[in-house]
Amino acid sequence: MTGLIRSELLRARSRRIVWVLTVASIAGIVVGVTIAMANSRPPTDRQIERATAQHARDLEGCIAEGPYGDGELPPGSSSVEEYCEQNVRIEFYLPNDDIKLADTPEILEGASFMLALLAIVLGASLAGADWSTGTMTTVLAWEPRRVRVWLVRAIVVAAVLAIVLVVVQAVFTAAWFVGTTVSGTTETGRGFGGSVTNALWVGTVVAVAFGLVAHALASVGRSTIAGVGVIVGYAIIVEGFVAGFVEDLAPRLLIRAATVVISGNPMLSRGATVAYAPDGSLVGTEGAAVLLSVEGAWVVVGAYVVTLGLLAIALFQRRDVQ
Amino acid sequence: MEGPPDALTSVGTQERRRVRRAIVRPVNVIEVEGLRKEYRRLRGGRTVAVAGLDLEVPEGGVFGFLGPNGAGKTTTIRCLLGLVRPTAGRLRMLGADVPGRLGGVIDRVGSIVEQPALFPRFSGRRNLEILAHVVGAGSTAIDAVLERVGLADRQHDAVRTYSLGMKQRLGIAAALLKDPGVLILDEPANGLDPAGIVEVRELIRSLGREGRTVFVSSHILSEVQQTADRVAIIARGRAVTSGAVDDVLSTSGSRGLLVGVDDPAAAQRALADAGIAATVDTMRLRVNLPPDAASSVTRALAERGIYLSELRVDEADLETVFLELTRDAGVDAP
Repeated sequence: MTGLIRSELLRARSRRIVWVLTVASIAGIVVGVTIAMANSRPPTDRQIERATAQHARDLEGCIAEGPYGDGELPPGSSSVEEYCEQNVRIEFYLPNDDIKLADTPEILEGASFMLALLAIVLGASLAGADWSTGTMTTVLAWEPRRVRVWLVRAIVVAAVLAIVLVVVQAVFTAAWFVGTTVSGTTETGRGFGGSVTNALWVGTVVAVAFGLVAHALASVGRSTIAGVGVIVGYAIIVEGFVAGFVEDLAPRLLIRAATVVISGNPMLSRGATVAYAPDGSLVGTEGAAVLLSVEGAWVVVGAYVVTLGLLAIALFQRRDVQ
Repeated sequence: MEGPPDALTSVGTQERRRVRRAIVRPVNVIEVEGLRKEYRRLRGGRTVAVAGLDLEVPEGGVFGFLGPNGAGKTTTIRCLLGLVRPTAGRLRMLGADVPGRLGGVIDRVGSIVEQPALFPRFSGRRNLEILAHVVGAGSTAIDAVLERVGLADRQHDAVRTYSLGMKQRLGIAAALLKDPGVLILDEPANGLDPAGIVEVRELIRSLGREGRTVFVSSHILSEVQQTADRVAIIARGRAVTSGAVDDVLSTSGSRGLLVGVDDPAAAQRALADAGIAATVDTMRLRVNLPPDAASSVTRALAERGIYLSELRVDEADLETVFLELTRDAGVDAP
């Protein structure tokens, strides 16, 4: 088993597509951050001075009178001080023409689907290549226990994807830090490090899940194109079209569940009035039913991975290899 | 008293029978009983690739597995390697049921099915390294097999730059990485130039001499005749004959003598006068007599002043036997 894992790791490491996509992603990040830096206009000392004074006045007023002027708190807030510190922030008083380190978690969240796309292509390719080159015959002539082969490959794919995704996100975070230090704003609020870490690992896990789904589909369809194509088709037809007509279906769909996981906000029924904190987290709902909680969304994503994995194993075990 | 009989007293009856069978019968490394493989066609119906094949391959030496294209050779090999599930029948390799127990013996089985399937963008060495990890073989073993197949100087080149013969040799190198007791090679001379064919032939012979069992499928009969100790011929998914090469050749029966003369018609008349039947075969006579009766032919012709330019035994070759047997089975020759 260890030998097979080492063999699969070496094989995955030797695949050019893994390096090409990783390097291309990093190059894209560097180019993107450079462009953002070039367009960034940090506030002048005078603007900062005025904004700081205005912010201090408004914060004081908020704490003294409450957000609505009557001392009442919006749902989800435990104290006036906490609410005001969260909602009366210095960045609201500064011109928004610069890049900000504080935006890192939101950018990582927003980039999650790009990461998922990267994982889909890599996951499908790591399964499909063996069918297009015919090397599955060689692999099985060395290890005919197919369940073992499939599981080892899935583990290796997950590990390789996790490494690639963490590296890409780490490079982005580092580049963004450099960019905001040179040509932006580096002030961050409380819990910034935790938010970045959370966004990074949630994005990684969700993207790995998508990669494993693509891996399973490519294994069933015996081609990279089958793996990528089925997911794209699913996204357009099922998630984009069918789910628009059948609301009950929405909480069971992969991409919607992944969105819930990444955003950290539950899926609510239509017609609900909701309130979000400036960091994007949900602080209050009114008249809404929770269709899918964050925990439930994790289960849905996991169920897709496990179900498609089992299907792929069953077919791999049963079908002839020509 | 020491020895096998006493040793057997401590084991069960069934085990004793098994051990006795092993003592009195040659060990077969491959056993196929009633193998049948059908493929469903998309438009309905079934294609029968193998139709009740029985096969026994004894340990050691080179075993030729012959048959025309489409006879079921590759399907049989795929079944043996667990790549294809038989519709019916029983397969055993190195004593293990296939495919159920194949995993337990696969480390002792090297194989190439049709063309060696390797990653074209990886170097030859990298392809071997990936496989070597599976069986825990180190770089010394990789160096040794690359040297043995003559690819040491091209090991770092991408496989896509290799000629077909080099790919074939790399496939053999991969199969040898396991230091296997059984080698299964499917059409190893396919696509090779004459020099490559000779190289592969020598390699197969040397592997057989080392005590390994080399199971070679081919439709190039002259190759098999030069390398194999035993053969099986299949046609339409069934074995039509099998055994030692000499035994299989003898099934064609005595083919008599071939006599070369300047005037075959005059020689035929002279032999007829001596009571010896002969037929004209282009510029030679074919005489239906055993080799030890050659003197009667030379005497009869010499008495009429006809002198021989050639006299030899008309030996059957594998191709002739193959054509006869496959014609009987109603299939086209390769």
